[in-house]
Amino acid sequence: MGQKNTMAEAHERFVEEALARYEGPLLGYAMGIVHDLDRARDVVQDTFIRLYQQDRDKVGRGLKAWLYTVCRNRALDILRKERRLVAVNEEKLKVTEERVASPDHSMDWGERVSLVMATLEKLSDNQREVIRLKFQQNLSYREISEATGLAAGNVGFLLHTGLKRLRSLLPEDLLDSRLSK
Amino acid sequence: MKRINHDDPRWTDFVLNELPEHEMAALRQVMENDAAVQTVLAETDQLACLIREGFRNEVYELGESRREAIRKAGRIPDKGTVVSMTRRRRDWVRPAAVAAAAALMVGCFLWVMQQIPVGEDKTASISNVADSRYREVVRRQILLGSAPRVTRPMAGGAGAPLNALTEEIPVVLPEVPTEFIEEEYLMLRKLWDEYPERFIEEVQTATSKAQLSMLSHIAPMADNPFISAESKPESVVPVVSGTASYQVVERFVRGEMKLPPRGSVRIEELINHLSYGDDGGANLGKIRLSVEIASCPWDRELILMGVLLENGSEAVVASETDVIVTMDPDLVKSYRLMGYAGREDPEIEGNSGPSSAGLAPGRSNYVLYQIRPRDWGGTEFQKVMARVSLRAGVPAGELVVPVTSPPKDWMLASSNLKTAVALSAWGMVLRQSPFGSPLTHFDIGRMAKSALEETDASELKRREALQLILDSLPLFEIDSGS
Repeated sequence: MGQKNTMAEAHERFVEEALARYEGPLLGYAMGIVHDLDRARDVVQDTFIRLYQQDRDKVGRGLKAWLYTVCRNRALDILRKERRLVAVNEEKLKVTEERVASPDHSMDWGERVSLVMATLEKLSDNQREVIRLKFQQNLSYREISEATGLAAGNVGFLLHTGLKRLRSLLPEDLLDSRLSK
Repeated sequence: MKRINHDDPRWTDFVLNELPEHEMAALRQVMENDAAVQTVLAETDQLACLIREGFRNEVYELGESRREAIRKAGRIPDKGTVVSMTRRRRDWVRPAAVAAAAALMVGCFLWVMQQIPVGEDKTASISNVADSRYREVVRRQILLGSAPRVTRPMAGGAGAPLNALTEEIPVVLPEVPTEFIEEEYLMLRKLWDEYPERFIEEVQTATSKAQLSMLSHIAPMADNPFISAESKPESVVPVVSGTASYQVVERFVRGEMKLPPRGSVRIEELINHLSYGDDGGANLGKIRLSVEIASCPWDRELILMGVLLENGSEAVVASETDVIVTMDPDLVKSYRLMGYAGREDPEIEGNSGPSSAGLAPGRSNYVLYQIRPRDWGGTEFQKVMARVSLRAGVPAGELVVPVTSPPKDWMLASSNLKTAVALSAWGMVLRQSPFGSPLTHFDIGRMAKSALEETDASELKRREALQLILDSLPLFEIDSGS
């Protein structure tokens, strides 16, 4: 009995640690798919409930990939069920377009970050997804492949084409080395 | 060290430290001597920093109430009754594999039945080609759903030779008699009936052995030509029996980052990898027929016609269904069936047989025609330029859909037509078809993008296919050496 309690406590600690570490990144990832904060919260909540119900040993070292896989599947389930059009953040795009059309040469680092993030919205869903997994969580191609079901080579290709397109959408001087942080 | 284009995807892998050490070292050497590459890498690096910073700035929180809800939900079930995800996954793997194998068998059966010419003089001797290695090639192709072609007399001319031979099994034979395929088919059928698990193993083995390299040996079949509407006003709308070509193209683009070999691209399979639906079609029993014409976006003198057949039945294969297009020679000069290279001869005499061995329940079949109108001035209104007849088995009867001019402006075409045309135009460019010569990959990109914008986010498969087109575009530039 005592041993059972100890195991349950260890499992709770395991989930709490995962929650503390991955709550924010997973919400960002789910947002990138469902484009709605409340639905993203539903997805992430459900992901952690499933983690609670999961055998810890079976998740093991692959916790990060497991969380992203479950989160992705739940988010896609919601999209399928609701047959929702992905609401593109019009305001964000509008701002992006204005800025790209007339680049401000005195943009500081923070402004450039904002512009890059807003421009990310213009990429395809799968390009945006792998970029988030790569740069937000520093997942390797292999881990991204596990989470998304894409071939590792395909992950690299999507990142390459995504970054290339992002560069083409940004003002030419945005990445000028003289403007580095 | 060979010069590497600064747009090569390996540079992105390099910046992201995703290459083995020896490749990293080799690329580092190239980089040191190439200023253009250094600039691109510096920009990519800086872009990566900006993106990372952007993600770090994101502040999303679940909120304490949701966290508590997670904890509560987690405490409810007894740990002893925890459902293992791995186990649940296994539960569906086996039935799914069996279902897939069964579908494959049905597909093979339909294909084999299509290939057997009625009344043909069976003079070929099996013993002449009874080579075990050769059998393996044929069996593998049947199992993979890309069965070998049979040399058979066709109304339009000579039959198609077998070209798909692997590198590891370099057997060269002039033709495959139908009996030989039947024998292989029956053997596999018996295996399926008696030892389904061994059959599945055969499929898995065939899949694992299949090499993409073998596809480069497939010589492209000649595309269907334009046919005079005066000499041949009627043509049978064929039904696609497989979509393997789409998977092959996807594997090349995604996995190999290369354009696929021309001969592996089959336009009709790219189009029918997707399902199509149109509520506005005409029904004959459970079969629905929809026809749409629109101006051709790359050739003002042509009209594109999409013929969509849907089997709304949940269980019955539409095996007696026959769809026939009849052009009016007074209004149509010539027409061409897009795709079906070497597989279907549009100049079939008589049109006495059904379009195919059947359309599976819940499936759709989309066929595209290019039509060259006679003295088309764009002012011909309300004239019936063609009729599409759907003939089903007794007692359903016949349904005729008139195709009336003028065609829609391309921009007003349906999402179905735009998607199917984008896929077929992509296929023509990949195949380097003479009928797609005015098209460039930029045109394809515009068409795919336009179709993608009109595709609902929930139609994931369609979006993935259109996205695949867009993602393949840089490969055209790499392949052309620019």
